[in-house]
Amino acid sequence: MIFPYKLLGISDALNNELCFDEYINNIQHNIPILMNKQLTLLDEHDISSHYNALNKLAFQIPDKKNITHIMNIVSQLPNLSDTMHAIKNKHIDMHHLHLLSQFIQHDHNLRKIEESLNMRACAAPLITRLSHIINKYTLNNGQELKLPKATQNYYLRLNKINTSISNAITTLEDHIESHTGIRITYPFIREVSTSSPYFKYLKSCKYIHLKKNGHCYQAIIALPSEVKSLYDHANELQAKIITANTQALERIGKRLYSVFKLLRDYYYTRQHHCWLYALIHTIKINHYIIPKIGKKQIIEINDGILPSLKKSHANYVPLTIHLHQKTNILIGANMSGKSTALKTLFFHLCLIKMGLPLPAKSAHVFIPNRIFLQVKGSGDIHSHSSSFSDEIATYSTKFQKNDILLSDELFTSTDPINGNWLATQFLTYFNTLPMFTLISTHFTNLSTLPKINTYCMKDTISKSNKNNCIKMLYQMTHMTQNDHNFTDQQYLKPLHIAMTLSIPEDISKAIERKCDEHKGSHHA
Amino acid sequence: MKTISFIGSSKNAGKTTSLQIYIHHLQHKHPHLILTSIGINGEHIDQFTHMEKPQIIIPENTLFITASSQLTSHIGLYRIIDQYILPDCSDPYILAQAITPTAFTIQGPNTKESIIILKKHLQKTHPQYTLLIDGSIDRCFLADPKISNQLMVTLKLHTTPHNCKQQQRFKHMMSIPSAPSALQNMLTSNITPNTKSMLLDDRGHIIYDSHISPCMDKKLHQYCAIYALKPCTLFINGALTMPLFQLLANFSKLRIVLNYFTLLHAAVSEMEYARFQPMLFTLHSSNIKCIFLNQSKTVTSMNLPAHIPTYNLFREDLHDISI
Repeated sequence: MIFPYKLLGISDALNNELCFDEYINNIQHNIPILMNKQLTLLDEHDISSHYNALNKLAFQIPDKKNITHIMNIVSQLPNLSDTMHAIKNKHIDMHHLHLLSQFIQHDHNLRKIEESLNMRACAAPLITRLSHIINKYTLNNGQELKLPKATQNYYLRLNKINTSISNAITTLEDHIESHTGIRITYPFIREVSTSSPYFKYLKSCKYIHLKKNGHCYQAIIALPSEVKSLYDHANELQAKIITANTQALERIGKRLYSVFKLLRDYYYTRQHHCWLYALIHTIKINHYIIPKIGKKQIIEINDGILPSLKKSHANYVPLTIHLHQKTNILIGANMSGKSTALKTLFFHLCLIKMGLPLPAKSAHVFIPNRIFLQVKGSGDIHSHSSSFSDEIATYSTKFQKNDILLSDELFTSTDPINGNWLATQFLTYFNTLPMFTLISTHFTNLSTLPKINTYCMKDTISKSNKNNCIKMLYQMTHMTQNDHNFTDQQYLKPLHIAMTLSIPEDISKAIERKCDEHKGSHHA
Repeated sequence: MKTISFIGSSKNAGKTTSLQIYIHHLQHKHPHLILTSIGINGEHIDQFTHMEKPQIIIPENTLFITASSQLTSHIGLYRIIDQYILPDCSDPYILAQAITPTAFTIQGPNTKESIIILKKHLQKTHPQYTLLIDGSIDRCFLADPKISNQLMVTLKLHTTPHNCKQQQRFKHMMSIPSAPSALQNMLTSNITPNTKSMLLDDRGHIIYDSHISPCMDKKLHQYCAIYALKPCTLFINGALTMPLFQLLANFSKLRIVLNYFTLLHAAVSEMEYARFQPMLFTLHSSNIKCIFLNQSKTVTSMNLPAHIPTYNLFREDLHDISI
């Protein structure tokens, strides 16, 4: 299964960065019945009913042991896509019957567990009907066809003939060996040179055919007519067996065709249930959660994880985000985790759009219509676009109800004065639309705009003995009107952070002077 | 589960005949056999004689693996034991048992990945069985120890220049010694399943590590030109082709370790091989169980490895061959 990131308009680079496929790998794969499963974008109603069904199942399958047991059976259910096609075209083969028989057997086991867990057992009468057809016409779980006595006689006669052929050939080989002194095995060639002591005996043996090949002769057993006729008889019987079996298969094909629509519907339902089981299994094994879905435009995610980041960073801090209003900005120093927060939120929203469980502690969200993530770029020389025009194009989309726009550093693609002005205009405009936004910015004055909610990434800078090092808390806090002096505290934060990085000594000294000047003016 | 693969020196070398003789002699002594092939087993017409080639007659009760499409015209002559969907084909592969001796067309999995998956399935359900693979001239991966425990080599001895080179190549391949254990340990601690080539200095430090096929890896060629003048080791897990063979031929201080012996693709004369200056080893020993000679003309100067049993396919009794 591959995450269909292109459906969400995600670029290859972003897909690689967020590692959606790594998340998908946590869902148990190699399940034949889910082999061609394709993830799609779900609409509002489907997401809601899908998560409801998952919640119900999670309640019905309370422990890991039960779901592991269920998954053991699910992984044995065969994929019937090809078989369905064959039944529809009334052109079934033996291996289709074998698969159908396996399906009935494992589906029966699955239904037994479902019944024991008080889950809805589905369409037993159809399976009984199918079992009846399979049992009536096949032996050993679809391995062979049950055949009328006349055809069974063909097999008995064929066995006898095969034994006769085998005996006749052994007798012939023995006879040739005693007559010529050389053992020749039918149907293999034996090469002899004319100087060989056996050559004259082989030449005189009526059951040996000699053919000149370069410097030597190839000797092969020439079957006597009675053995040849045994072979002919065996071939005739084989042909009769094939005809009888083909006709029997056609009869079974007609019977199966009569239940084709019921079977197809049942199979698709079963396939869907197996998908839900696979998701429940993922939830139980990885401690993922099913988000609570609401109508109100709020997003609350607690301890949301970006799996790829958690894997690569030992001190990874999950994201907790509570957005209760529709237009939100996110401020914070450089490297305080604003972009990571946006990308983590984007990752979780994409999963919701596909009805997938979230790697988080809890989540309460509304269902997104479309999700936009605008990240800093450098444009594209092939399409003659710049980072500035890219931004304008994204923000000028005809946004609809419940569209979500996540944007990283609004209008830093142009000069700060005009950028700030444009940011103010667009943010005010977004506020009039039924969309939802979270935009990170360094323009702290945007937090004073009406109906804008401001969040800030907290950070601390710690100094170790050897190096200045920055320790991120990745905590997002909501700022009230009283917190506005906080923006003053942010004033020299980029310079402090720059000091923690490897910079030329002259610049470092200049920053120190600047900080001292600021301290002095503050005291004054 | 044990796997024995049949490989041959050229097209129509007699691999399928060797396999068939092998099955014929073993079907009563060792009934636990499963037959399959790489792709479709052989052509139906011999390229040299233009005669129809013998098909494999699967003895009664013998298990075999073939693509489901190959069984359509034989309904009733086999029973299905299991089926597998493998990456190289959308058609399922069927593990079937012959109800009566029948000439089934065997079309087995065609890629290394598919054979490894197939072996995992069979290991669970038929661990006591031996898998026999009818090989193909262009599938050198059969010698990989992940695939085969043992190999049966069929050599067609010819006097035509092309076939002479191919039989020389096989002779050279089979004569490559295993790397000394210290060298093996050094390599196995550094290489990964994706390593296609690795150049190491005389202290075992990695100079270059690549996941690109060695014959296509221009960077490897550049590194060799710089470093291989000093003592160093080159591990190759890809074809040692003629251009690569020629490129490396004069580095007298270089040790080349092929992952397994069939990676020697360069078909060169005795003299060219003798002039090749690097020392050549294999990481995994060749593990050839026996050599079948298909000798249409008397060729006396083959000098095959003495420790490997050799049978003349058409001139000797083969009763003592075993699993």
